[in-house]
Amino acid sequence: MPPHDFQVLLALAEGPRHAYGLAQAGEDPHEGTVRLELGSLYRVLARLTASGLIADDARAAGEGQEAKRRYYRLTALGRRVAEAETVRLQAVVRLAKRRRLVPGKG
Amino acid sequence: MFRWLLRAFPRRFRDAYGDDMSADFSRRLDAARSAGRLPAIAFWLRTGANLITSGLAERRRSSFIVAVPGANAPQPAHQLKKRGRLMSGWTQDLRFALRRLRHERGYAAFVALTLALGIGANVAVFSVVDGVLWRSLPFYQADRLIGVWGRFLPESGFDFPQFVLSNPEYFDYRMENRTMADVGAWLQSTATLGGPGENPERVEAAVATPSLFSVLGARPLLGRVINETDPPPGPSSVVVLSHSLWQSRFGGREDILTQRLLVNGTSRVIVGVMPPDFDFPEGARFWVPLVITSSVLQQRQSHGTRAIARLKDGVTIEAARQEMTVLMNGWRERYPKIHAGHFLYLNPLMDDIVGDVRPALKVVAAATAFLLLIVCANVASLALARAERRGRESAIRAALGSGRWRLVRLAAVENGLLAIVGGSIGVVLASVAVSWLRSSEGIGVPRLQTIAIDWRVWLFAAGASLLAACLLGALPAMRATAVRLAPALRLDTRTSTGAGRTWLRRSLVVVEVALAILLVTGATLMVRSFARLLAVDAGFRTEGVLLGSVSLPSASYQTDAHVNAFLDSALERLNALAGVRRATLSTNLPVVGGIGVWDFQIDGRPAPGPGQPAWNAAPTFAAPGYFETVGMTLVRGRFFTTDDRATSEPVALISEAFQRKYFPGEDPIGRRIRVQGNDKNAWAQIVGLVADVRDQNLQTEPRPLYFMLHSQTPLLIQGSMRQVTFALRTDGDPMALAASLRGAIREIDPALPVSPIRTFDDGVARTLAQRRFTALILSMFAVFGLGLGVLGVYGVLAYTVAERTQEIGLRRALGAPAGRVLQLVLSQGLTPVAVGIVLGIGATLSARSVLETQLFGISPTDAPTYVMVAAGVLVAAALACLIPARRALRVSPLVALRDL
Repeated sequence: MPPHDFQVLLALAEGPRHAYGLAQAGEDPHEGTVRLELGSLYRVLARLTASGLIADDARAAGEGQEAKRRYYRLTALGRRVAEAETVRLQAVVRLAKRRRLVPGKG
Repeated sequence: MFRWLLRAFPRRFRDAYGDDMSADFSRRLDAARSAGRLPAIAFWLRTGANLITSGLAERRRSSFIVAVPGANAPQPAHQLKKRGRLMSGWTQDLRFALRRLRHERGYAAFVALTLALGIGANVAVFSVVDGVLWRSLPFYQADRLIGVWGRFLPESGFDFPQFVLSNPEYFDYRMENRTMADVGAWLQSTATLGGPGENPERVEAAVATPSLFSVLGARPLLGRVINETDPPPGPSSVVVLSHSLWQSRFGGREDILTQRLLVNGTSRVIVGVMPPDFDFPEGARFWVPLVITSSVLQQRQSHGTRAIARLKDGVTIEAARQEMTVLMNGWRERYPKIHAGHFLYLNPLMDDIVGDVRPALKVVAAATAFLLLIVCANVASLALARAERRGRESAIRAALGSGRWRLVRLAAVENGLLAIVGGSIGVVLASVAVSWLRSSEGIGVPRLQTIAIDWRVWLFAAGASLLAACLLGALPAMRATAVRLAPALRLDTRTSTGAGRTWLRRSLVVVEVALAILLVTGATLMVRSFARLLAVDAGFRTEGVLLGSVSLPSASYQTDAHVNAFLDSALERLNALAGVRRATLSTNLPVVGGIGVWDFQIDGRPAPGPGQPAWNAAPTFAAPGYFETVGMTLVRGRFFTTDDRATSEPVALISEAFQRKYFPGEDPIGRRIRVQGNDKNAWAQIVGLVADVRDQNLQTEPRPLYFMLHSQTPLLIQGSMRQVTFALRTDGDPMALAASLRGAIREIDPALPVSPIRTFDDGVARTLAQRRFTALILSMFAVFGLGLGVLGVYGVLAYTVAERTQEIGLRRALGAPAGRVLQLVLSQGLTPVAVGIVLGIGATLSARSVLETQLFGISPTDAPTYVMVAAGVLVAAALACLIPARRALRVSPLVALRDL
């Protein structure tokens, strides 16, 4: 799974967000390290929506100006895919450690 | 801006996410702005690039997706064969494009020819700019060659920003400098070759130092060049021939070394022949040694030598200039009288040669580039209209499974074909233009022989064609990818997006009109400036005068008596020729040439001391009849008469500028002046005052002039007084007298060739050639550009009217008066024109400093010109609008409503 896609899923695991929130999450060092440019971000959103991993979230729509924004939430499929990817990544990290690829540690 | 960038994405994507993206964009932009200007710029660049790339990627992707609503993971169709699909079928496309273009011959021919003219003009101008300005001079390491010049500031008594050197100045600089590998010098002159019966001819020549050849890095083809041991003029003096003289006079024979040649009546030994590409100074047919003797080194104030230096390896011109400053400080201390306000300076040789034409060529090059832009905008507009006409065809193709990429590619192949054909015709046109330019002497641009259509020009032509193909293909391609199947497939002629569709073509009209305004205003300013130059009262008349020059060799015309006897009998014969109304002679003729500025003294007035401005003005040594022949106007007193002879009381005339400067508020008639330098010179009494004459060129203000009789003046400076031009005034065609002029002189001295022979008109026209040429080229471009612009206006409006036929019909049916409809159509057509006019005027104003260098007697912001051009363009555009507007008025409500 491309890192951008996974990062969006990761950010949405916390709860529904709108696109700008996702972008901010991308800038936040605790949440992710991959910067999402405007055009790329929306392509990711369109792709994930089309493949059914995320969906528009009507309930989360805010008040006033915010009401116009589209919120996105993880679908059940999306959650399962993200979990599967996490498991895969864990395996990858374990393998990397065994091959002494983890920086800073012996 | 952002909205525009969003257009990179497919429409469906924009509809879904466009609003959110804009909102996000402004929040991100605000964040970036608050971080400072640089981050904001970086953000713009980053985001812009990202939007375009991801937008195009999205278009690519969506064109392969077979959309299955509700499916979880749509598969890109034929993903595995993607590469093969992208590249396959080129030949098929090519065949297909050819077939389509054959069906639309009119369109194809128009586009190809317009492109051909645009590209051809650019290729021709590029080859000129490349050959004249960019290509290095044909010398070894030519960029290290530096011209050495003198400058007189007004405090020296003269005011010459660029002047030739005196021999001692050259000699001292060559000895004292440490930054130049060597310095060479030469004097340009005209000399007579051969004796009686030896086919005498008058040719350009140079008196050159041996170092001139080493500075230029020139080697002889045969024999040797001039060297340090060559003696001064005498029995054993030498001459080096140019390749052309060797060919024309000696048939290229190899055994000519040690043969002798008569130069100005003196026999010289031929010691060498130069190769064909050596042409320095330009036009010189042979070279004789410039020998600097100790007596020559006393004449520090006798200026006539040109010098050129070669920088030592690793030395920059700045270093050489700094050294020059130091040297000049020393000279000022050693020669305080001479070097106060007078010093030498350095100027790269290339600038010496092409510096004058550079601004003009820049203007022409810019105009040509603008012309190509207009051409592209026009053709793109046509291509858009065509793409829209074919919208249904494309839609059917798309519906039948043709990928969008495939559709774009088909359009690209078509445009590429048109551009290649247009570009090729353009190169042919350009090579015709270039060969014409090379053969025409009369355009006043140096180095024309360097111009050639070579690989650089081909490369440029290919680049220009490619650019044209991209410009003309880009917009229709964007359209093609945005084809929406359903509405296009309906047999419905109404379109819901009519207004949106024409905005692109309207912006193209804005661009075209703006550029056309720029071109037309520039051209109009040039033409008006040229007209003012021709209309200027120069103080003389050129029509009906034939000029022919001779050089009197010192060998056969040793004394004043010899010279006077020859000139008297020449004038006698010339005056007796049939068809000649009056014949005269002179050392100078206005504009076409003469001797420089000489000092003089005024009787009864102490000469100016050191540090005071010297008295100097341009002298003319002429025969009686000079003023009448040249058409100068007498203000007071009298002209020279035939009673003024060598033996009578010396007389002089002065110009009004001379009087204003040296006899302000006094009556100059009766005062006496004489040429300074030789006390044998007689005082000449001023007998007349002539109206001012622009004697340097038509655009320069008149300067002080004085006139003396040739026969009453001793041969002051050999070269100057021995170069005499005969002037014949006739009622008929002056050139018809050329043969009799040549014959009359040959009868007196068979060894004296008359050359060049030309009309006064022609001589003056040559000095205007470059301006005439620039004005002509710009006018041609302007007419062409304006035509295309008007065509563009017409095309867009015609299209809009056709599209709105039903709407107009409906309005008419509901009772809208004709005037209303006309107003509606015209306002739609003329709005982009008005915007274009405003932008074009702004662009022209911002180019005013460039234009100013090319103008005479008219300001680059001349308001009447701008108003005239704007009004002209507006009227032309309105006329173009009237045709579709009339069609709109003729729309029958019945017909329009039936089709509804």
